[in-house]
Amino acid sequence: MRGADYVIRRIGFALLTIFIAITINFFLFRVLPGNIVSDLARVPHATPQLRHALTVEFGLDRPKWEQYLIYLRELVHGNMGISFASQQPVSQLLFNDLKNTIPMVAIGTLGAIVVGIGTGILSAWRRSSASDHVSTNLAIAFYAFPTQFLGLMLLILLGGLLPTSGMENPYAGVFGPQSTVARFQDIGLHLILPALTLLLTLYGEFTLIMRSSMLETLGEDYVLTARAKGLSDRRIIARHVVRNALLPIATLVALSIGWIVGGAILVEYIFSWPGIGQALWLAINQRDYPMLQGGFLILAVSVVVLNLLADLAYFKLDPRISE
Amino acid sequence: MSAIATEGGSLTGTVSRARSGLIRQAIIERKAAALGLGIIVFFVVLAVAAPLIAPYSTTARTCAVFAPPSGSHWLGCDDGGIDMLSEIISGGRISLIIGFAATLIAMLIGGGVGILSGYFGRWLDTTLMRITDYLLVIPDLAFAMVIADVWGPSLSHVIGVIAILEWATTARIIRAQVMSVKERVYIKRARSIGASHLRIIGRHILPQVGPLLMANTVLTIAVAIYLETALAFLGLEDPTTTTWGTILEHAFDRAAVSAGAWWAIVPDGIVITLLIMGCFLLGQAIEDALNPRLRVAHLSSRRWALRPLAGRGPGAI
Amino acid sequence: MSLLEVRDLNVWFSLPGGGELHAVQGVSFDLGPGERFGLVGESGCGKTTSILAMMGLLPPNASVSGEVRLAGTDILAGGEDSVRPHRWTDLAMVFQGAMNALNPVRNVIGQIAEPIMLHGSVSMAAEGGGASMAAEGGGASMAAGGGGAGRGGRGSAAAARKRAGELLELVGIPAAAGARFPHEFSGGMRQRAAIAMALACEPKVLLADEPTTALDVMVQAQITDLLVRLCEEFGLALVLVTHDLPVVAQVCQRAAVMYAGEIVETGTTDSLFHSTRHPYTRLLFAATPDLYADDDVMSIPGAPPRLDEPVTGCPFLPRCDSVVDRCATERPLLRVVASANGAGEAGEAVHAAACHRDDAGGTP
Repeated sequence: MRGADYVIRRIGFALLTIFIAITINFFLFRVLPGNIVSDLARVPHATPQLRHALTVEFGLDRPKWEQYLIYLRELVHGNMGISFASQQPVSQLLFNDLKNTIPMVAIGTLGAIVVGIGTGILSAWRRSSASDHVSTNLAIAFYAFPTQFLGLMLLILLGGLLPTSGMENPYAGVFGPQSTVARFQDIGLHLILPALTLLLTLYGEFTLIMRSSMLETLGEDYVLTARAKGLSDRRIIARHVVRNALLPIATLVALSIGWIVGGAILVEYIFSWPGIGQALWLAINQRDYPMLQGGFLILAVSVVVLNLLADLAYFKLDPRISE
Repeated sequence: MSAIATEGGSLTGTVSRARSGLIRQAIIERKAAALGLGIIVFFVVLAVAAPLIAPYSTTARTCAVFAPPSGSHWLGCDDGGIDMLSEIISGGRISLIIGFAATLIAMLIGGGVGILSGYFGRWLDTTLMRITDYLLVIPDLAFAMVIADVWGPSLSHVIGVIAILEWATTARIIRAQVMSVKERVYIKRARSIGASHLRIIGRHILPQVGPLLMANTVLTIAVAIYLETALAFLGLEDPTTTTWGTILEHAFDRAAVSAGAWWAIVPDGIVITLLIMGCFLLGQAIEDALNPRLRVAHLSSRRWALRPLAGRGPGAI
Repeated sequence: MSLLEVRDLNVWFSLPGGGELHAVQGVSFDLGPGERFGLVGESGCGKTTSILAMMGLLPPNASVSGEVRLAGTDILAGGEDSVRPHRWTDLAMVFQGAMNALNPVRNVIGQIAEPIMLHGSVSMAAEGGGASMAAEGGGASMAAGGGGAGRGGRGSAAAARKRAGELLELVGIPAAAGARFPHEFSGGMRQRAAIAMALACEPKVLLADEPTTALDVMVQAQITDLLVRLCEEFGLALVLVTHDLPVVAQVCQRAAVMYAGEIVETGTTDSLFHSTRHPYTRLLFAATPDLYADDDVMSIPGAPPRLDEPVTGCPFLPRCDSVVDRCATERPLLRVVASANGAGEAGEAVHAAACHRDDAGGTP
């Protein structure tokens, strides 16, 4: 198969990166000054029993290298420890949070990609026209808006019309059972503002990248060839420009995944969306280090995995990759 | 076949022009670049002159809680009765210090790693690029949150975190440029007559990557300021300082939204947006000027024009 | 009537800083069916711009005047909209295929089949592949050019790919290789594929832009042979743009030399090569390396004039080695210097040059 090497190498690199992330994660929390997890005195509401259980489970009384091996072993078994705040397994809590984060972030990000790539294509094709100027300047403005400012603006402007906090109406089930349809409608309404904030904060960058990628591609000789072949503009753009212009986009989207996660954290914080970002913020404020450590690891791993997907998409789009 | 189809750059102009003059040229030729530079200069002057300009104290109470904008308090007051205009003018100082200092460190690391990696190649390149690759996939804000929390909130920690996070992109870009520059004939010649590495890098490589590094510096300032405001918004900055980020945090924290005190949010958001926009406009204009591929377009919604015949007489045979 | 008549073609590019660049200045030439015509000159002299203008392929900052008459109809008259129907069905272009004329992310056969699918191909209905192309009547496909409706076999992807495969075989590439991508082809194969692509809709005129540049010498010879063979076999007319005089000698019956946007000398290849009249053409020959002679290759000192400001007098004046008084004040026009029956205007012109010295020296 073409480029099986390439795929294996990318997967290998992703696994290595995840391993590095795990290691850094360990050192960050246990070895650097502060030595937080092992400093059980800082754990709020810690009963002696809990302290003892933690000490035994993570080998906190053993040497660091042994602790590291124990940490790896527990991680392989899906054990990320016990949340200090809720005394429940971190992995289970984070799994629930992840389930809430994914739809909101997916809708916001995919929306941003669609809007951004669409306006980028139009802008490039109508280069220097009034619509290009409007669209480009709008994109720069939205790119420059700090996510939290955008979120607050939407709160001010649309706060009266849409739910601004949480994922569901907390009183929905109080006066009788709620139908599944009603529940999803409720969640959908709650989802609008956070997803819209994320969409607006991300789309500008995609527009600008797509526009300049399109402009570079429009200067390629094969576009002239396509025009000479008597193809319509629409067909040239659809068949000969967009796919080529998307190549650098795949890489750049991959590079901005960290950025997307950052935006998601801010959005979840503003709209109290019960996802990973919110969990991370709560963990910091409650000094719940196992949660913080686990949440960061999950985010890092998601970024690596999404990056791998972007690499594979690039591979699929560009036949020249075979090394 | 592409030489004829120029747009946005004259035929004999920018292509052959020395790269050193490019930044000046980009600023003169592009309105966006001049606008960007103007915005940055404006905020720098504002920050430097803050103690002289700010009308009121940023610590003492000078008006009512959430007092709306008025003749004496142009931008109203926050939840503590502190003048918003003064807060924004002074808050810019620290935001800019963080942005510029973090960027400076990031550029020194990124530029250095990029040049070393691209110039020397081999194992040094492999090692440095692995580290770079790792930093590139790390989720910025999450990492910054963890570090800021572990180290504790202080100005220098925030600068350090942002610097560590932001050098990787620059290193990648500079490395690619150095790799292409070092294959040029005059550098190979300099090497063959025995010029030292230091001399080649200083005399030949640096001037070639300079403009690109410049563009990246300006773009990184924008990212650094963005990260600063985000960290502050999440409450991970020294709570006693006033920065553009903490102003938004206070407003959100003290329910300015439900109090209808838009003036505690909007002006501050706008200055952050303006500064980031200014950096983007300038940085992007320099990058565009460096990219010859943007000058040609074979397809456009606009068409070539027909002109009436104005020939020099029938010359055909 | 000639198949293709180019009359007083002018192209200007508006420059971003204001001002204009007059890239092509009053270019005119005729082309008969099956005739092979060379357009020679240094880079930047306007030869490529001329053929791009003939197909309306200029960027938006260009403006054009003049006529490009195909079988009597001016195809430029209505701008982009009136040229488009003639692209590939009547006029096709062989690009410098070496690198980027083919889309890197799509396979070769698909790119050849694409115009067939859109515009159709006359001989697709008929059996016999390439050979039947020669029998194609001029008028039929002209009418079809507008909507493509008259062309046989239009639209079927499978048929178009089959036809594309035949075209590849015709230029010496196994049809099966068409499934590969451009980067998997050698430079010579890419150039052959570019030629096959140009033949896709059985045009009457091929415009070839430096088809042999960037290829090594052996491959160059194969490509020129292929072009000549295809033109002869199918009665195709060819406009060959090149800076390479020996290639013109091998391929073309007639040629024109361009300098600073205009044709300075034109005639049959034989007459142009053996009784050169314009000093620029002479220097161009001197600048061409000769495999069989030990003469030093000369370069022409100086550079062509800037085209963004008007030129008074002869544009070649600063580099010319045989200046007369009039050169500084009066721009020389093309004048017939030899005709088929030996005298001035009466017979068919075979040689013309734009040089005052010819005037002074007196034509036969």
